[in-house]
Amino acid sequence: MKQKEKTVKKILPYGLWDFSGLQNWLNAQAKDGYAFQKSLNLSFFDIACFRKDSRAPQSRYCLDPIHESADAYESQQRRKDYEAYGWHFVGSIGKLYAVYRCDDSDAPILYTDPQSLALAMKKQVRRTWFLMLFEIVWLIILFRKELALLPQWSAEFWRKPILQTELMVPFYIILFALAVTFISESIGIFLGMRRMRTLLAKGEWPKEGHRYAVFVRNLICSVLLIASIVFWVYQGISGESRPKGVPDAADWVFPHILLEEVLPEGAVISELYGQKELLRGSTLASSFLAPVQYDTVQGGQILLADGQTAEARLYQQYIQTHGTPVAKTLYQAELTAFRHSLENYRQNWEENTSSLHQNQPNAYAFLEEETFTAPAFDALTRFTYQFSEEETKNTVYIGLREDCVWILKCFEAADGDAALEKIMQRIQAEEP
Amino acid sequence: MGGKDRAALTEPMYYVLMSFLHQEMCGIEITEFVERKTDGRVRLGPGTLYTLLGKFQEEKLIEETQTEGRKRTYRLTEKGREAFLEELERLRACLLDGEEEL
Repeated sequence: MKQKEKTVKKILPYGLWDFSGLQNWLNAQAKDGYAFQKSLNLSFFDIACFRKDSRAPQSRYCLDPIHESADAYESQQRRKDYEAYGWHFVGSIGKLYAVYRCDDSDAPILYTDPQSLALAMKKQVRRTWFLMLFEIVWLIILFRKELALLPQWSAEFWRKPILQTELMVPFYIILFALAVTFISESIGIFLGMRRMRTLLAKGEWPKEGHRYAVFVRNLICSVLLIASIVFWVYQGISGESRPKGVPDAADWVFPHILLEEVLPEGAVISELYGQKELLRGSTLASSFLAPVQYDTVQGGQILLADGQTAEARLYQQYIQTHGTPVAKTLYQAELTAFRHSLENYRQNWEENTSSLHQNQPNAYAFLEEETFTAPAFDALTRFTYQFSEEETKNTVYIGLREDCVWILKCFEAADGDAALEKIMQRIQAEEP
Repeated sequence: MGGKDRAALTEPMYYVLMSFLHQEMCGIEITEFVERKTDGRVRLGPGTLYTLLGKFQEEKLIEETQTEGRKRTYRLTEKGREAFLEELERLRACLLDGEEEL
């Protein structure tokens, strides 16, 4: 029974553009008794497969730029032509080079002058240029919405990494590692090939590049990627990053106010909604950069002094961060995110004006943003707005105080001015 | 002529074109001719040879005449002959310039 040949796999220590480095390395492997068979691409690494061959030290290896696809007629014809000179096709590297082996020590190498190799690489350089362009265009198309938002809403980017550090930071690292590898690989190959071709066209044989430079870069990217994926999956499974419910206001351990305190004069709550009716529950979450995050809501039906009924809702978010710089960043991020949500609503409204609300071309009856100073806050911004289809105004405060960010949303009958006054009293009352 | 703007031929290009002056040739015959003509000073690897043949075909300096199995034969075109003669003139001028200065 024929014994199966053992394949030895080795990581290519040179970039795919490094013609001299790769060719010299294949010949060094042959001297050690390893005959090249084929190459594989394994995520970040290109792997060369060898078999032990006692005749390998007497053989020589040469690379030939692949002009078209490896199976094209031209390549097949070229293989036949080369065989007449003692050079036999053994495999290819990265769809860029055909690898030829010759056991005749008198046969000339494939390319005996640099200019002819420069000519042979002309189509290959063009191919790598189109490949690079295609990948860049594809990435731009893929992230076109995100890229369009960057100039106007870039501050919003930091919101999620602060509020969900353990989930979002690994996620961004994964994206970054993939993007770096994806883009730098094709850009690197194109630039490297172009540089090499320029040298060859001048009549110089290019020297081999730094061994393992590409390997080290790819190793760092893959370690980052694997560690991030493992950590990400662990966070998802362990549930450590999931917020816990705190529906009872007695559990809210932060300076807060209650819905009943911000009702209009003489109004009383006739029915306080439960979490199911409110759609969203009150929660306490945490992250490395923002260890305490309350997101609470109270709402209900109220009976006004004149006997009328109305709705009232009070949303309070309290985020304690790991320091003032983080809080300042989050404050800007929350402001931008809120402006963005208002703008999205306006755009959505205007897009549907002709079909859904022809008589109401404007999304807002009024919308006002005001930054002002208040004793309990280092910075405070108020948004006052009324949707054109509603009859009550909404008030939203976003405030910064030392390492904390407050967001206070008073909707419908909840009184914004009273809410601000009360929350400032609470904050000041808790000052040491 | 259409070849006035042609860049100078490299040594392998020059000898490959020269090999077709008197007869049609296939790859191996070209290699042998060049090696014999230059006493082994210029050796053509198959990669170099077939890349140059491809370029000359694209530029219509040579044309393929017949294919027998793996053997392909080429001949020089009129344009190719002009290109060779132009290069020869250039080299003669270079040689004369150098000798005058000696």
